Amino acid sequence: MNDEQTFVIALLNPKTQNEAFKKLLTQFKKPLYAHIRNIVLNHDDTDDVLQNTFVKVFQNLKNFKGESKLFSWIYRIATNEAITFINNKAKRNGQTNEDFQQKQIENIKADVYFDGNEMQLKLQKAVHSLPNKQQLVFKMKYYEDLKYEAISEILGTSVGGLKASYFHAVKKIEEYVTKN
Amino acid sequence: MKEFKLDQTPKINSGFKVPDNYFDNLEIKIINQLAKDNVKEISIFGKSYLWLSGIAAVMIIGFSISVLFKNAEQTSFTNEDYLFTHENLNTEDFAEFLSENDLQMLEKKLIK
Repeated sequence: MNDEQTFVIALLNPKTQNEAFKKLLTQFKKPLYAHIRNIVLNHDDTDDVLQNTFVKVFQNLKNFKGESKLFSWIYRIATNEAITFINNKAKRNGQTNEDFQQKQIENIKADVYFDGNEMQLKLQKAVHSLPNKQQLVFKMKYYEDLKYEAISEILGTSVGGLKASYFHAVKKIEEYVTKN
Repeated sequence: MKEFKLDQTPKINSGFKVPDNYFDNLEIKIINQLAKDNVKEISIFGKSYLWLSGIAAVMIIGFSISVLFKNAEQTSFTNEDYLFTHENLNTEDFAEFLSENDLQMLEKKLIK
């Protein structure tokens, strides 16, 4: 039995569940924070979504069948929570998802939890001029350093499709930064 | 204009910052949230109804026994009498006979 299977069993066993879940929290809190923050952009919203994500993970452990890796399953929950959150917020403001995020980025300098230099700010603006899917792939590959195989398991897109998305994203970003 | 090339530029970070101690406090927050959720699930349904039915059952049995005995004292107790007295009675009828005190006790167990 490999490490992941042992861990999943520990998570499913009521006797060892609490201890195992604390381990999961410790392991995933920072990478999931970064992943969610890249999508919802502000800290407070990220905090909400992150907590909801972990609660959902805990409540749905009994439904985890091991068909995918635990890592991918958890990231998928986080991604869905974050995107749903953004969609709802955008809807409440009568905007599309992309318009909403672009608005957020225009105001990002005012965010007390953003201390990016000019280059970092420019890149954020460039990224948020991209269509949704390309944005997400770029963020996961470039900002989060996830491998294509991992991204593929999380998003359900083929590695080839992801590479194409990333390639186009980079081209557009380079054009944007060059021009601006 | 110099062309910008991402792969020829040193890694650019997102620029996002996290409040101090955020990650330390996060685990406690989540564990407390989960503990609260678990407690809520138990007290709304399930066990509290079990209490109620348990108490009600005991009271109904206790009451019907005392009624039985009372009838035996007052009249000549026959099988027909017993059947007549007890055949169509249901829990509402017994509830009527529960004193205000009994009802309050029952309610207390429910809310707990």
